[in-house]
Amino acid sequence: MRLITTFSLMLFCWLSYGQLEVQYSVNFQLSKKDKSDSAESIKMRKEFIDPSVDMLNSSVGVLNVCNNQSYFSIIPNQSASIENKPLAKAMIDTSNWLTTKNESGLIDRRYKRIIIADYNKNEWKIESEPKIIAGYTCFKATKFLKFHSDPKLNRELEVWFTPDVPIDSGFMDANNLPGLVLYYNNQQWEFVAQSVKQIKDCDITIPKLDRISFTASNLEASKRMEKRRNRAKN
Amino acid sequence: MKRVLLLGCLGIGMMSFAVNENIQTLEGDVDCFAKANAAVKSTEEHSYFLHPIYFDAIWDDVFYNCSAANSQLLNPVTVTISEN
Repeated sequence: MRLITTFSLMLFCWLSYGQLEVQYSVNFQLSKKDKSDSAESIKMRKEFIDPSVDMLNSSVGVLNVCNNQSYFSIIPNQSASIENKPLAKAMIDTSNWLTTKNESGLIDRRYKRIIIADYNKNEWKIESEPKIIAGYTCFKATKFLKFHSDPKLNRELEVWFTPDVPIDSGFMDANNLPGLVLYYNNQQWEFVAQSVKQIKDCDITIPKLDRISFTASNLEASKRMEKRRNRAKN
Repeated sequence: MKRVLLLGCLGIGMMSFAVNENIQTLEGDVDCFAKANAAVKSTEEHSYFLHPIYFDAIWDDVFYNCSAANSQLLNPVTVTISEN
């Protein structure tokens, strides 16, 4: 009888939380502090950067969770045009994350490969003070992200997860937590859950693509940028 | 003989004029390479915690859109290194 009850509870949990769609508000922060820029720099910022940042902040983050795999993407506001907003386009194009309990990967559509997050290996520090987010009791977890390709980009990641939804498929590069992540802040992107709903049909197929580490991918990109700078000088 | 020489000189003159005109047209076009580099530089100046893969994506977007809009030949710099 106990076995049947346990099995029924497990089945209930799986059916209840196996397939979810979570929507998040987006707050993208490009620079941390205002510095005294030149007139030219301020002009470039107003024309080139601010429209992209505004567009990103009017977007919605969507996390689909199916069978302990999750897929995250940023969906632009339909009324906003992405034309002439290369920063917004770059950030949205590189916002598709596939996450499992043990691994996180960013889909690189330009080079048709998956960039594996190799910088998030530190252990989580979980705190016991609860907070309600989107109606769920959440707990804070932090870890230090260590970027081997560029240590000056090292930073702390803060997430809030709810054990009330016991899925462990993570969110973007935050994985291996005992619950659904409803808040994410890596000091550049901040996502706050607005709604959690169960969905009937959900299928995440991990594409059969080449894999490359985040470190190697950034070294490759740095080399390309260096070549372009040198070519411009000649 | 004089006529042949004159026609020859005239032909060479016309050809050099045509080549010069082509160069001038190219020089007069938008420099998409410089435009892409400027876009990246501007983003770098204002950014905080942005990785090279994002600058790379911005460069590609600006360069390819600019090239397509100006019907220029695409000649990007592509570098691939192994993971090890």
